Amino acid sequence: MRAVVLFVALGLGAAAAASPQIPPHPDDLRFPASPFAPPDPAGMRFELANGMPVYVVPDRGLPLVDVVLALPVGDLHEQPGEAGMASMTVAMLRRGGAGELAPDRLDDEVDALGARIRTVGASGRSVIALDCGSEALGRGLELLASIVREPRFDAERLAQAKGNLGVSLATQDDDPLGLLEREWLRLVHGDSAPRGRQLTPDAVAAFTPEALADFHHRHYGPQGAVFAVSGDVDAEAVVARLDELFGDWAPSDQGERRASGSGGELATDEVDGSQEEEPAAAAARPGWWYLDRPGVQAAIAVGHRGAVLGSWDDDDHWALLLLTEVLDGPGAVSRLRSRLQLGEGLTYRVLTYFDLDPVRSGWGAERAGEFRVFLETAPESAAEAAGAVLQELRRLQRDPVPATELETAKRSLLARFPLLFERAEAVAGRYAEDELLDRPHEYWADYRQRLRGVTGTDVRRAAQRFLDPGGVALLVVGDWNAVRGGRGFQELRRAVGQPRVLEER
Amino acid sequence: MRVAAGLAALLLSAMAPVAPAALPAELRPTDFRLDNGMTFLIVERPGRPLVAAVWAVRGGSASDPPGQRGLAHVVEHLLYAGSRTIGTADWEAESRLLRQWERLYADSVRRRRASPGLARLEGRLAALQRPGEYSSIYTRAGAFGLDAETRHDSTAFQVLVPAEKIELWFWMESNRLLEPVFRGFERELRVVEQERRQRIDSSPAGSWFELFDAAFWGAGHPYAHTPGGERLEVAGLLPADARAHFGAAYGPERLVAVLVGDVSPDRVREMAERYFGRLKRGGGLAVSVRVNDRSEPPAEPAVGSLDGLCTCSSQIEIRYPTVAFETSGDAVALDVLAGVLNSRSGRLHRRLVLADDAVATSASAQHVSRMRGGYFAVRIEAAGDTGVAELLPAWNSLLEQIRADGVASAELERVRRQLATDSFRQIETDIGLARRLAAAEVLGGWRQLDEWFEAAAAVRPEDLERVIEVFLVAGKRAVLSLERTGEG
Repeated sequence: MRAVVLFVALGLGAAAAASPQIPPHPDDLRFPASPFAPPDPAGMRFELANGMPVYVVPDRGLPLVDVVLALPVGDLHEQPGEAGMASMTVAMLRRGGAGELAPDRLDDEVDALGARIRTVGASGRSVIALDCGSEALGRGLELLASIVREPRFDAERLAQAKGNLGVSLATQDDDPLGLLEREWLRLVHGDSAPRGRQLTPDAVAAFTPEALADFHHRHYGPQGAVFAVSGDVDAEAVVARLDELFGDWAPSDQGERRASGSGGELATDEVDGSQEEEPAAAAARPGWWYLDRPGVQAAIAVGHRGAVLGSWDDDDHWALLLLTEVLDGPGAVSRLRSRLQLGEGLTYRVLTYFDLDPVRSGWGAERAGEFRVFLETAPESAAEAAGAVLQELRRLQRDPVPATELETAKRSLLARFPLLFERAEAVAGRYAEDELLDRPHEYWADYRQRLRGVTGTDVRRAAQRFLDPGGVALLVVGDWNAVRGGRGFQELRRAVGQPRVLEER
Repeated sequence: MRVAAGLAALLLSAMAPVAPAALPAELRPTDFRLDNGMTFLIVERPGRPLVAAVWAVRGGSASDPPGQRGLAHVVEHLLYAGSRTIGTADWEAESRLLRQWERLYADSVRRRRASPGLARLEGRLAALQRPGEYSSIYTRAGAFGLDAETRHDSTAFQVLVPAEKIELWFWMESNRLLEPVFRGFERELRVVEQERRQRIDSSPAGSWFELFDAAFWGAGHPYAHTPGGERLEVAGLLPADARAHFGAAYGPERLVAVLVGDVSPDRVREMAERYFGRLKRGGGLAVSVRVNDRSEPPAEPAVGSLDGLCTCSSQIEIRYPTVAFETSGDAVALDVLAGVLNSRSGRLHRRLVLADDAVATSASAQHVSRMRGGYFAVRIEAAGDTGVAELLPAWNSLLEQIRADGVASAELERVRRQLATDSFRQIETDIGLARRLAAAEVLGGWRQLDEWFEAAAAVRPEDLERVIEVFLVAGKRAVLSLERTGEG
């Protein structure tokens, strides 16, 4: 009897719904369709009296609140002689005291709340973020407003920060990866472009309390700025409080001009509307460059300028998302990873970035970020690994991505879509960022459908339009003797020309 | 908008004193144990699109046998190589070739030269193997953040899985525990070496800190080597070593799984029994490896100093031996003491970074406590014109001042509030919560999170003064001094 039962269980296991079995392979598992849809932004948007948008996404799990203020102020606004001014200004907001609070008192108050107020200076934006326990939110918001609107830029604190900056300037080449990053950006954008510009002792000397206050006065204001609030909050209450603290904030000098259509003050040549020439992808100084540094590991960056599309509606935007996924996505397809890591065990990590920002009106090609592949490997394998990267770029331009590979890439990308809205903080931040980038909210509603429509030929067309394997800047930082004696050196030299030593600054 | 300082002070004092910040009710896990000893913790979070899934095992690099430092980390990597089902086109054929390959490979490692026929076998194996299939099944399903970490006392594996596909996690994780195949062995050793280079050798001060660790804990101490191991010892490992470690260290009674997300505990329990219930308790294995045996007294941490030149900013680290991890008494008081010294308004920053005679660009304190010992560390980076020799005296005089002044209750109040908020930040993401719960459960039970908090809230100024007297003693410390050298 027992044997019979066992026989039945084995033979008809799949049919016995009462006790589910373990299928022989995970592909045999059946799942319900993903119920996920991006949250509707309609009810999340509020406006302050001066028009500043506020996105609020309550989440009551923990007694914590995040308040992020992002302003469209960055290195693109720096005048000649102001290199680094945007980053220094935002960094000193928190450190230099505010309103009636001297720096020490401000530190005392923020710490006593158990709060953090952090600042980030990125290329196109300055961000000030408060996070604190919900019971400390009232006072935290007051401190945030004071820091943003009435910074003191205390002279002693600034001198101390400049001293630290001097030390890091002196030691910045110690870390080969930092060196690689800085020098590679110079090669791609040129010495004078905002993204290629280096901080120098002269630039640091120009950071005075008056200069920072002036930069703040000219650029900080409600124009184009946006709040994202998430966590343990009541939406109406927090908006009302923000309105009291920021609703009467008037546009800055530059903001008025920007709003009135004159484009404001930009450090770069202005580009006229949408009829501009498509900017070249090639690096400012293409070719193979190296810096000889002893060590058991070589670091490599290869790539060129990022894509500058006319609008968020450009079909190639979606093709480029898939191109990046195929080349080196974190998903199931990564041509580079399967070749360099799984194939040869040459590297522990490959990282690929492709900046795809469309042109913000009036910001021109200077806005272009980078297309970059970064990897580390033994110096003897450096040329071989870099050569493999270039071959993969050419292959994307030559062959349409095969249907099955493209399908896998789409599935990976689509499957990761919910991750973009995983938590309240991500939801509020994403919709707030839409305003900062002039990206319509519908972008997210259409995201999956647009991706599904991309074909292998679309990807090849985008590769031909935005990749430029002949125009890459390839920089190797490592033990040059070992690189030169390593595998693939001659082949790479035939492909990109004679390697040149990068002059020391 | 005005900021009235007087009013602010009033608001602060009017705020209630911090209550012990236990885990909020809705984040407290449901727990159960399978018959084979494997523990499950579940935190139900309705509406989350992804489930944060972590499993951890008691035992990490501290259990590496002598001469095989790095073994635990290598096994962590090999667990991504697949199983008899995943990662192969034909397990029957592959297993025959693998056995031959392992014999030849062992032979070539012993003789330090490639055995004839090895390359040909590898070619035949490559035709049958599907490297990367394990992770690609996950990513195709929309899972993300596949990662693992080997620490000194534990090893953890994590991934975020779409909630509706959570059964895939049960399938994949139980499968690699049930029938793992350590294929691609030699390549994985190379990747491990790459990781080591990237983490330690490429950082200017990294190898000095590795040396300092070794000197501080003393030869033979389980913490004397980093989880990354020793290059030559890693290169000498064989697949049989990895299997032995796996057999001894990965028994279900040593495993803890944590799921945080939109999953029901009942359904998890059913799947846990069905999938992980298949794992057999440890034992029944020919080889037994000592795993985190607490009974063996470790060597005394060393006293002394290590001076070096480094292409890095001039800096020192001062280490005082303390106590093993505990959720009470001195261990917690030392955690709180680090908080008193840290942050912008803390003593280290005020005295060493901001004061007129500041010597540092940054200064921080940390209490590191593990299962078999701990230390209190102070790290100071020199300001531009400061010599490294000035840093230790600066710390000594600050410490003297703290001894003389004592710790004010306002300082302690500030730290309690920061600790409460910080602890919430650490569990703000579901994966953060899952990792914290898994780590706590592996090291003695998740309720330790609460116990630690109660203890931290009860710390009084005299407790801090006591641990300063007992532990922060010049005669017991070890000091690493790195002086910047111009040439790279």
